[in-house]
Amino acid sequence: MIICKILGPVTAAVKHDDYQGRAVFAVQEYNGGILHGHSFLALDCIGAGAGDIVMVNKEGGSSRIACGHSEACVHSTITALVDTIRSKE
Amino acid sequence: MHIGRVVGNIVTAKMADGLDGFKLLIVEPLDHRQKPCGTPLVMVDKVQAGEGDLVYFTTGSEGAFAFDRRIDLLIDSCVTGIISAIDADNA
Repeated sequence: MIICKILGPVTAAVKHDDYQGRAVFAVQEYNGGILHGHSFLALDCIGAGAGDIVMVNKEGGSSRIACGHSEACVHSTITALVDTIRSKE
Repeated sequence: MHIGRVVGNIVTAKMADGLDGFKLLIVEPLDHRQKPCGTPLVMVDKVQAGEGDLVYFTTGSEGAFAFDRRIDLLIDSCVTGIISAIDADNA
C-alpha cells in the first residue's frame, strides 16, 4: 500500500460495470507534504473526498477484492483514510 | 488505472488466438492535467471509445477481467471508461 493525496474526482459517462456506483479519483503519491511521481486513478471504497490523504492498494489481488470482486477489472483502490502519520523518514 | 487519450488504432495482419476479434486502440497516458506522461500503449477497447476520446484504462491481468472475467485472453491493458470531466486541475 502507498500513501496518496486525492487530487479530485474523474467522472465518466460510459464505464465498465465494475465501476458503476463508485467514485474514481485522480491520486498521487504523497510523502512529507510533497507529491511525487505521476498521478494515476483509484477506485474509492471508503467514501473519501478531494484533498484527503489516503492509503491506496496500487495493484494486485487485494485491490480487486477491496472493491468486492476478486476478478474485477480494477487495478488500484482507496482502502483507508489516513488520520495521522508518524514517521522518522 | 490511468487517464489517457485515444490517438489511433491498430489493424493486424495476424493475431494470436487470445487476441482474435478485438478492436485495438493506441492510447497515450496522461496525468490529471492531461499532460502526456508515458509512451503510447496498445490496448483493447471495452466501451466503444473513438479517436480523440479522453478515457481511463486498466493495466495488468485486470485488463482481461473486463471481458467476463476470462483468464485465457492475451490482454494486459483495456479501456474501461470514457471520461466526461476531471476536477483535479488545480491540485
